[in-house]
Amino acid sequence: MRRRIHELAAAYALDALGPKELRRFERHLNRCEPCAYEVRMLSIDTVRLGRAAAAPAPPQMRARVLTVARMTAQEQAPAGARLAAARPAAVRPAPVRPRSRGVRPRLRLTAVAAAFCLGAAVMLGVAYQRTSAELDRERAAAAAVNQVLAAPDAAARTGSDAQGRGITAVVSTSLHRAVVTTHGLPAAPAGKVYQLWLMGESSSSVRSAGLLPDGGGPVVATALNARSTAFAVTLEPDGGSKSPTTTPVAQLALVVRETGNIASTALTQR
Amino acid sequence: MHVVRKDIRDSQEADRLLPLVGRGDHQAFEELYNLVSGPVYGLVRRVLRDPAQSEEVAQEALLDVWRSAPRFDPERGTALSWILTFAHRRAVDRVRSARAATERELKVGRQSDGPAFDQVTEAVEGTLEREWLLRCLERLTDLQRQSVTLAYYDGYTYREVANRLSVPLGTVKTRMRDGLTRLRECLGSAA
Repeated sequence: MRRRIHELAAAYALDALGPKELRRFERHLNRCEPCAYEVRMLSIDTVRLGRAAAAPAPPQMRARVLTVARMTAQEQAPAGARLAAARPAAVRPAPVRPRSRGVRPRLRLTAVAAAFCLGAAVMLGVAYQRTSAELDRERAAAAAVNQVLAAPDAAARTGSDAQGRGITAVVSTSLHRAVVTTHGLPAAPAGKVYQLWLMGESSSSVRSAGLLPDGGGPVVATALNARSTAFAVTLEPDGGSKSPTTTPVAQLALVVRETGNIASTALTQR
Repeated sequence: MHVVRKDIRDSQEADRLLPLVGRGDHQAFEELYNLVSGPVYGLVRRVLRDPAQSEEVAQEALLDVWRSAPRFDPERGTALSWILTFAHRRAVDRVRSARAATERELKVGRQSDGPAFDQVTEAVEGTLEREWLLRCLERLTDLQRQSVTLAYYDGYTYREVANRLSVPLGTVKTRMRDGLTRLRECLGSAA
């Protein structure tokens, strides 16, 4: 029996076991150091096979993944118990939602949105001390973020300056909304807060898009239109200001094309 | 050789970055993304073929990496192996459930073999490494090569592979192991 299960190491390294055998083999792996060693050796080959298939990822994927990661809580490092395998345990992701053919093109971002829900749930789970009003508010905020990320026309752009400070925005033209996060900014000093601005064509058409929570977001900016030219972040006194009182620490330009699509490019800011 | 050096360098860089990602470092995650998004997307696409689905699954896998990074244990294997495992498992899960759905809906027989490995990839990066791997794959026996590629690149379980190749289960297990071992000897086990 033990010998027989040992023979499955190669199939395991190739992810070629069915669900039942996979569970059995992983249980065995935790007790069998030679098996774990063999799997590690065989994994050297599967990494080669994997790398050989490398292909450039679609450019739009980058900002999406990096943006959602900024909104997603990480798991806790395991205390004590260790996996014997060189591979992550076969804990399967939550079941994939039912698919039907008609919706396929719309699904691109929903997976990411679902991942975000998961992250939000984790964060919410940790926040056990909060009042139900606060929880309701957070759920509503998560839902607003999700709505933008899941929009069929959602497009993500990001930009950083030389110090790595910048803004990432996932913009849905059809919803006139964007999910905005910042990165690389130092924590706001005591009594100050980072505020997000939606810039218009003239200096008089600058509108607050909200205060950025600690850690850089996310904030849902609303009422984007063809006259919106850029996002900017400034440091303001606690509670925020009616209009910017300091020089922006980060900016992201929005370019509204004649087709109505909003694209955006990074503006480098000192 | 040049190929091996780049191979090792990328792998070491991923080993350096992943523990930083595990401590919540977004900058490190961005660097890691630049390093592994090509292998992750390419591998998923090799298994799934459909670009839109591949993008979706690759995104999920890369977010798995972000979420689970605190659990990565460098003593147990390389970062790249860990990351590609997320991607491969996600892709294999998806292709298997799609196949199951197709078989339920259409009740059709099995389709003919998928395209050969070298017909599918259209990448511009890593061509030398790929050529080398192809050469090594050619040195395997047909049964070894098919056992390995049907499982890894087409997402079939070893039972399905045995079925498709009309050979006993035990034979497939042995051929998979021999195939991978000979591949490693051919490529060199340095990385």
